[in-house]
Amino acid sequence: MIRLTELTKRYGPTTAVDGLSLELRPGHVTGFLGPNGAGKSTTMRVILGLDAPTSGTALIGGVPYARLSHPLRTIGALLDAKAVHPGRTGRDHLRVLARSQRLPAARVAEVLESVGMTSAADRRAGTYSLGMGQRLGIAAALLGDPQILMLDEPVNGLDPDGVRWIRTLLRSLAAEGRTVFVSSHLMSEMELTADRVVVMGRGRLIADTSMADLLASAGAGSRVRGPALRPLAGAFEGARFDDDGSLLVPGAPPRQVGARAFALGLELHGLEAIGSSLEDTYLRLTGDEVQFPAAAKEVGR
Amino acid sequence: MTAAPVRDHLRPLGLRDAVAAELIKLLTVRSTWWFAGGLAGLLLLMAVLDSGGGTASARSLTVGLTAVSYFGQYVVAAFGLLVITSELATRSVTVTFAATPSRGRVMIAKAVVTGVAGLVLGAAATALGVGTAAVRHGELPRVLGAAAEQVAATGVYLGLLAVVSLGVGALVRRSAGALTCMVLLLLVVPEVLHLAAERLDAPFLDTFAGWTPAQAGWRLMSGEWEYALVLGGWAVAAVGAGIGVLRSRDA
Ligand SMILES: Nc1ncnc2c1ncn2[C@@H]1O[C@H](COP(=O)(O)OP(=O)(O)OP(=O)(O)O)[C@@H](O)[C@H]1O
Ligand SMILES: [Mg+2]
Repeated sequence: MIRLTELTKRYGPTTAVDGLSLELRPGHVTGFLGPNGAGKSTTMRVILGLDAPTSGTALIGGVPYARLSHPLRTIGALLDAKAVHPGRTGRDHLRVLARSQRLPAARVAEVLESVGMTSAADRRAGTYSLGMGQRLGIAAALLGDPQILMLDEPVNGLDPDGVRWIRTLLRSLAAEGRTVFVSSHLMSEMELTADRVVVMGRGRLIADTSMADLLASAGAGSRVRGPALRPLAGAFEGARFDDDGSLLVPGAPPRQVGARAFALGLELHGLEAIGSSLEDTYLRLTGDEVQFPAAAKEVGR
Repeated sequence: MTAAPVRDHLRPLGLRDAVAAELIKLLTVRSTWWFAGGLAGLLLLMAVLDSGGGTASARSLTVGLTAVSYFGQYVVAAFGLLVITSELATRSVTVTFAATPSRGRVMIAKAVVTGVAGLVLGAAATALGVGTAAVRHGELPRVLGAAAEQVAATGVYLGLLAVVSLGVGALVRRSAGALTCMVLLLLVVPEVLHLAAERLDAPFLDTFAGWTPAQAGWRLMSGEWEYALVLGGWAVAAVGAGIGVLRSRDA
């Protein structure tokens, strides 16, 4: 378990993390979201003892990182996939780590296999593509079979196959009772992977909740198509017809709308969830906190 | 006695694990072999090019001494500082610190491995160069004892110099900057001290110059073994300062 208490990190005039208190519990995939520069990577670096906090504490199972007797068996982290000596092969990179933790050498081949890097393991890391580097970094995080995994944008650069693989992996690790903490900017992916969400903006905590509650609070809705939907529209408060004739039902998920349509004996041609995807919810939550907004639409005219 | 056997992987990690990891690191990058080959090639080249002139009683020993002082020590300095600056440059030092959070343990492990590598490579290259020169000049049986001592002393010098350079690398953090500092320390500082001693008529500055690494190294290689202590002092100071910087800064 990771516990942050009133964690603050300043770099000169920049306050990267501002009084962050947080508890990451086992058995969950916690998605770590926030705009560029929100302080996600900084938080992770402080947890690993790479950067010293200006004030506050970051504890892992009750002790600071520096006091862990077997760091990589306790917490496996991927912060920066490029942080590898380019002249060393992927396999040798992992051999070094395995030896430093007194892990059996056979573990190296195991994790290489599990991230699909066996065939590239004897190439120098400098020749790896973005996704291959990312896979090597994930292999390093898994090396010590740790109870806690902390990954900074692991999906970055992975191919669709890899994205699906890591989604399944993280969920199964959490199901085994491990703590999984993963940052990402890919909301649709996070929606599928994480069951808890921590949102940061400008170094501060904006939200710390379950994915279900977050989405429910934003009110999921449905879009319905069919020849005669007036009775259904009458059954839901706030329902209205869209320009194309489909019925919009805010606040009611497709399951609920479908059940009502069935009860009313209505013919449906389409029924889909709309509205508050994680992306919409996230954008609403962080709207005020974006430090580097994209330029207005007029650009390029 | 029924003490439960402590399973190997449960014992706390220690310096030995860090040293073993650093050794794998050193052996799995090409630059190590380039430095080894460069140093050996340099000594061999000097041995082959040496004209054999002069009246020195043991020409081959002079060849070894000058080859190391004029060229070899800079190769070893570059080798030592790169052990840490290459990790700082690639940010892979964050992976190192994640595996071994103690900055002191990391640096001491690096110092052990770098020092032993400098000693072994330095001694081997010197043996190659001096041996070749001795054969060329037909001195071999006569100088064997003195040559063996010089090989050992040069190994000790280059091992300690590699550690000094490692410490400077941790202090300066950049390869180019650290190399500049090492050249200043080895070449320029003693010259300036000698000049100042002359101009200011202050002979104690000459003494100081004699304690700079390159001049202490010259004396060590010439058989004044007590200068190994001076170099040891430099190594401890440089690594200690390097640890201080690594501790005080964000990785
Ligand atoms: N070493 C550093 N020195 C100075 N400022 C830093 C340093 N590291 C981070 N910062 C600043 O701290 C703030 C938080 O950065 P951080 O990398 O933690 O954000 P992030 O949430 O990971 O962003 P992104 O989504 O872009 O990865 C930024 O303003 C950044 O410029
Ligand atoms: Mg980041």
